[in-house]
Amino acid sequence: MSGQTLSQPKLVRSPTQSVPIKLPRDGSKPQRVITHRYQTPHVPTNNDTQTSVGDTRREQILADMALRLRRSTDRMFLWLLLGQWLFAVVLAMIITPFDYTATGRHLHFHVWIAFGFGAVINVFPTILILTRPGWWLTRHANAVSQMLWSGVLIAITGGRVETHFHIFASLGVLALYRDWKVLPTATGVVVVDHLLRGVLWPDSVYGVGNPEWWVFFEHVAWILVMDVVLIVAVIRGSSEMKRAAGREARLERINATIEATIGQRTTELKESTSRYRDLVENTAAVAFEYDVAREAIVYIAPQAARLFDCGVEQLANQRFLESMIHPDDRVSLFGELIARGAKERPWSDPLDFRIVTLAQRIVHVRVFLSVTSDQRVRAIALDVTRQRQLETDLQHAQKLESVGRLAAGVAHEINTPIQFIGDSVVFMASAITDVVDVLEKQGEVVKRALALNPDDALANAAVAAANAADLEYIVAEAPKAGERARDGVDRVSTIVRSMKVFAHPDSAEMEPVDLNHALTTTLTIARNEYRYIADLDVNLGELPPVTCFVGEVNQAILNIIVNASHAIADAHQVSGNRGKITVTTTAGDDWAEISIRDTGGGIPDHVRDRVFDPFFTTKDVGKGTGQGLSIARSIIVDRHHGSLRFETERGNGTTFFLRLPLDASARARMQQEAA
Amino acid sequence: MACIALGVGTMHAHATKAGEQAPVPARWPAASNLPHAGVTIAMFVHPECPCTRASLASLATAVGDHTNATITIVASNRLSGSTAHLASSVAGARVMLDVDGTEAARFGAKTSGQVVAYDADGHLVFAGGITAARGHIGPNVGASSIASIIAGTEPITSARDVFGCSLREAHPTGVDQQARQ
Repeated sequence: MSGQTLSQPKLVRSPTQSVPIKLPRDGSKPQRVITHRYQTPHVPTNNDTQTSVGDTRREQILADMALRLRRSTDRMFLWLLLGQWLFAVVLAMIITPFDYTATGRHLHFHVWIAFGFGAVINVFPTILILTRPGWWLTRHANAVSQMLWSGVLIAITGGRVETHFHIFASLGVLALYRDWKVLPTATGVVVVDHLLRGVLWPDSVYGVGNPEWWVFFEHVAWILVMDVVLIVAVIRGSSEMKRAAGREARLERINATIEATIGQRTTELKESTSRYRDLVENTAAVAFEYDVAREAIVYIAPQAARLFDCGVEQLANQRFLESMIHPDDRVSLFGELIARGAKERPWSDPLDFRIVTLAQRIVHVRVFLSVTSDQRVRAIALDVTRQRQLETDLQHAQKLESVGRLAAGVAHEINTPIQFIGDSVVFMASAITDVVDVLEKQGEVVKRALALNPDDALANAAVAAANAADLEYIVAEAPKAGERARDGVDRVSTIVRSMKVFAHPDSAEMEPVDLNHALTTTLTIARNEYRYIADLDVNLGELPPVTCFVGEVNQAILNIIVNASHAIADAHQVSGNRGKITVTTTAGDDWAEISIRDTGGGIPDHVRDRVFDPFFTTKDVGKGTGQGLSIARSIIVDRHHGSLRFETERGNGTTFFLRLPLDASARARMQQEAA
Repeated sequence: MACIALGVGTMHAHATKAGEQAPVPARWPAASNLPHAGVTIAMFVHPECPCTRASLASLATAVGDHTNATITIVASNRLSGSTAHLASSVAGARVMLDVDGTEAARFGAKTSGQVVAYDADGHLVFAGGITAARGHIGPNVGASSIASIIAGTEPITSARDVFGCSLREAHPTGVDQQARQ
């Protein structure tokens, strides 16, 4: 008999697994269903899928519930059968303890029946309950056994009609399986028993030896009435269990949706937290939170350890952090913090202060604050030390620029007077030469006059005046002084002209220029940079006109000359030896190249890739802004599409090569090559 | 199933196994010490036989609340407990001890529950048991026959199997002696 009402054998595909799960029909592997129930359910994506999945899941839950119910009922029957067995033996011992025959007193047959036949009745269902709980055959075996117990108890109690109520009670207990097919099995046993015993031994079942013909049907009818009532109850109970399974399936879906949503939100939160943590803890900015009420730092990003030159574990020490603040800034900073922390305020003007690190570095810090409603200050601190330095350098550069402009203006103003000064000096030098000739001849006249008349007063006075004035020295040196003055004025004129040329603003378009002349001019301007530390060796080759912004090229050359001078000064400051700057110009088919070689210390390996970076410098603060080579590269490469490269050797110096295209076509070619 | 069939069959065989019966005198024995007046009914019982309670219960049911018949319960030993209570519940019945089994032998009673009924003229009208089987309480042909006799009507049957313990175990000597006589 197939006694499966709710857990029909079927293959269903788990919403979350790719392998099919066979629902347990025999109770042998119920864990799979139970385990599956708590696996992460599938989240349906549309109504159709949701309905299908929901129905499948409901069936799974229903089968699981039915299985658990039947297993528990099986366990109950195990105790019921054993209890009935014990009860029957005890009852037989009480009612019919002994039998008396001609041979004496014996244990009554009913006791043996209760014990032996009870064991026979119980053994099969007991084995099934212990080995296959929940199996359909187990409960049918229980039904058969239970009904046989009715017969045994009726027999033991001497055929009492009242004991027949055991049948009805047994049917009620069997209904607990919520499997209506168990009831026909039990009823079948009773019917067969009544039928057979009614024919063979009516006294034992009806209490009379000659019952009416309809007595069998009367008994069966009452049992069938009971069956109908119980079957209706079982069907209703099963329906309720089905609805409960549906509700549980819906709850599971809802839970799955909620869990999926929570999981998604958790993932998003983790990602967001990770993202913000990366942002907060992997940047130069140091985020921290300060509790104004407790006067404690709630959080501070770990990179603050680099800022303070300390270990991460020291950041948790409030006193330590406070001690880092520069003593001159401490009072004003705390006052400002307390003032701002008094009321909620969004991000406002930053606070600037200094800290003194464990390495005794003075770090300028700029802190942006936001005060929350719960009196917490959330802030981001930036190390602005470099910015401060750059601001200082920029101010210095601006100052130099102003001085340069002033110098250019002065040069322009000096140019005219220096011209007539030069002319006058030339005139005076020429005049001195003439005057010296006159004086030499006049001296001869005086000598002759004294030779004729040693007492010639006028002649003697002239000689005395000449001696007093050291005329002989004047005559010997005055022309030389005139030459030196003229030379000096020439130099001044050259410098002034060079400054005028250097400071002359470029036109809007490139113009063909004599690059050697521009180079010479720039070297003149830069002379003060190298004249005390290095000799200049200039090798100018034949160069065709180079189309360029000559003022910008001059600037690039100047920057490299200044760098070369500084490199030589650094390399030779200990020995005091003079260095050498070699400037060479060469020309190719469509390019001209200026090489500037110094005898400095060369560029260290670790900074070679950064020498053209803006604001990168290895010089002391105030000596360089770090923009010289960056500007030179911008002029040569970006503006003229030329090339700027260097060769360096540690201890032997560096050579920079500035290559410029001669004209527009060459510039286009070099641009294409660079690209 | 075979075991179940065997068990049911054994139960059936045991329950329906009738006890021994000996010929019952067709006329009331003059030597009997049992009272005889009008319709006379005597039941021979073993006081410890479980079937005795069923027999007494059936007798009580058959007699009803009141009767003019002379009813004697002949016990092979003193009745006690529920058996004595059942015996007392039989309307108009009195209990007599027959320890040596003389009366039982006289009436051919070998099995507990044996009932003999004589009419007022001393003719035997019924002999046998009044339970359907061993220890079975409830209506049966024997009990109905006794009820009919008490009511003064024709009994359904005049003979019936007796289901109960052997009376010989209680007083083997007396029964055997009587049997030998």
